Parts: sequence; C-alpha cells; structure tokens
Amino acid sequence: MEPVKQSNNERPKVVRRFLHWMASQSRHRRRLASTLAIDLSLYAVLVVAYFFVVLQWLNEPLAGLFREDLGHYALVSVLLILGQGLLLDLVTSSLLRLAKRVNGKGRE
Amino acid sequence: MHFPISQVTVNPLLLALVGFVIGVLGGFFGVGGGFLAGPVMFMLGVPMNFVVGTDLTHIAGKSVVATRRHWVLGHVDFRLGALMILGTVPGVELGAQIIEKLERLYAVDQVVGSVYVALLLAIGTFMAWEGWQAVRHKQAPANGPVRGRRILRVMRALRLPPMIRLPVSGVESISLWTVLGVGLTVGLLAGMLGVGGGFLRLPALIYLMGIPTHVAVGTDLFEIIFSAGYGTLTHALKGNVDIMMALVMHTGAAIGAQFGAISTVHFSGSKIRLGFSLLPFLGAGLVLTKLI
Repeated sequence: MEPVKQSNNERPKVVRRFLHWMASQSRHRRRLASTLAIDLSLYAVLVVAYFFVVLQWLNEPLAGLFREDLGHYALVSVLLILGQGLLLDLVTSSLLRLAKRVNGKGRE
Repeated sequence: MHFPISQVTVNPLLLALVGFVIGVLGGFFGVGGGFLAGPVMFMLGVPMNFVVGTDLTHIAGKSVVATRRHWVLGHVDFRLGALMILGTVPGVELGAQIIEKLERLYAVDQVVGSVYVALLLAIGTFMAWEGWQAVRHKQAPANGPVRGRRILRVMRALRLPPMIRLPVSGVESISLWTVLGVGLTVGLLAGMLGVGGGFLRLPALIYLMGIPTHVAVGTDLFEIIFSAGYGTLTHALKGNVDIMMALVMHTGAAIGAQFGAISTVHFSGSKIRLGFSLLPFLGAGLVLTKLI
C-alpha cells in the first residue's frame, strides 16, 4: 500500500508556520541556516569527544594545582582559556568552511 | 559532573548551552554577557565569588573567537581598541577607589544599584528610540556611522591636538584626548558598577565617537579580551576561578560567538542597535530584582 503524503492542512500548526516562514526567507538565508545547522552538528560531535578525552582528564590535576599553588594556577588558567579560544576558533572556522562545501555540493 | 574547585555539581551540557546563548549575544552585540551569565550561574548553585571570576574567564576565551571572526569581516579597529584600553584601565581603578570610599560613607549597594538601573534604562531608552528612528525613516546610512546627533558634533568639534586618524572606522580626524576621555569615563563607570563595560562602551563608541556599529561591535570585543583577561588573572590569584567550569562553558560560547559574529553581516547597523537596546532593560530588571 502506498504511503499517503500528508497534505499541508494535516500538518501541525507549528510545522505549517515554520515551513511558511522558511519559504518566505531568501534563498541565501535558507542556505545560511542549513550551513549553520550542519556546522553545529559537526561541532557537537567534536566537542563531546573533546570533553571526554581532554577535559575530564584535566579535572583532577587542575583541582590539585588550585589547592597547592594559586600563582601557577592563575597563569595556567589564563593560558588554558586563551589557548582553547584559539583552538576552538580554528576548529569552528574549519567546520564552517566544510559545512559550506557540504551544503553547496548537496544542492548540486 | 562534579567540579572540585568550586565544589558544585552541575550538568556540563547546561553550562555549554548557557555559554552558547551568551556567545551568540556576545558575537552579535559585542558584549561580554556577564550580566546574564552571572545570574544563571548563581541559580545553578555556583558560589558568588566563583560566578564573578569564572564568568570573566569564559568571556575572555569567547571574545578571542568573536574578535577573530569580526577581524576577518573587517570589523576590528585595533588602533582604536588599544587607545580605549589605555583610557579604560585607569578609569576602572578610579571607579574601584570611589566605591571603596562610598562603602565607608553610604549604603553603597543602594546608591550603586540605583545609578546602575538609571544608567541602563537611559541607555536602553535612547538606543531603542534612535535605532527605531533609523530603521523606520532610514535617517542614517544603514551600516555607516550615526549622523545628525548634536553630541557627536560636539565631540568631533574638540580639536585638542594630537589629532589622530582611524581609517578602519572611517574617522578622518579625532582628538586623541576624546578617545582617551571616553575610555576613562567608560572605565570609571565600569569600575564603580563592577561590570565589564561592553554595554557602556558600545553606545559610547557609536554615539560619542561616530564609529560605525559593526566596527564598534568588533572593537568592543577586542577590548574585552584584555579587560576580561586581566580580570581572570586577578580573580584566579584570589582563588575565585573554576577554570574547568569556564572551559566547559567556553565550548558552547565559542560556536555561539561564531554564529553571532557571522549574523551581523545580515543585519544593518540600525537593526543591531535596536536589538541591543533590549539588553540594558534586561540588565536593569535583573538588578531591580536584587535591590527590591
């Protein structure tokens, strides 16, 4: 038996409104939204891996440094946050370029 | 997840989500977002001393990402940012000294809180009015500096040498003392109110110095790297920073800041100013709930 395609009136009101809003946006904005969605999905996977591999491992050593030597802890804190800033900037920029490429190819 | 430094247990996903929202706001409006992140962290059970220090730390990291993105878009005037920092730092120190003196004389919470609320409401109201006028009547070029404001003409009329050029901001000639003076005033207010100053600096750059909105956003973020970085160091030395919590929040803030910064390209300066005007009202509401 062929699946019956849902007509627009059968869809929930929220979905109808969202589809109508999407259709009203320019092609450029729709492409931007889908690029950012791809970017966010890829980033989420990487961040979860980063969290379990790196951040969890750093938790106890940093707590130990905090208890024993605040001077070094302060320096390490500044270096870590600025270093992560640069690293995540590199990652997010690369992912954005990848997402644009994937989104561009998907539309061909 | 348990954070042994601040001795709290918080869901790291929630922290990353908070960071994401603050990152989007920061990347779009050029603010640190501490006035929003602080109350949220406090509600999650983080002790207040760690709220202040940890918030500043994650803001410093987020601002690196947002500034880099704005720099790629040509929105960062490093010369202007460096000069503003030179004025802001002594202003912050002066503001902190005034607070210490006030503490001995008056009920500083009520005085500073009332000044804070009045300032936020004034900034929010003015920016809402100006942004709405610009959007409705197209009085200024959509992405250029605001025009026709008397106070801007007065500030530009100050011809105290040395005069400097700010080519990235499109400013042909402005007195160095104007730039330093605006930085000092913003720093003084920030030091007195205990805030990063982004919501003060952005209107000051736009309305007192005529910097185009997009450049004001990017330059403001550049300054926040230094002010929040300095704040991180001093608070960490006092044992008020949970770096692990800041790193987790920052994972959300980094991608949020990218989104926020990229989005500015799709909105005119007048619309950004109009949207920004909501933040001071929100901040005033949060302060009022503490005062009452």
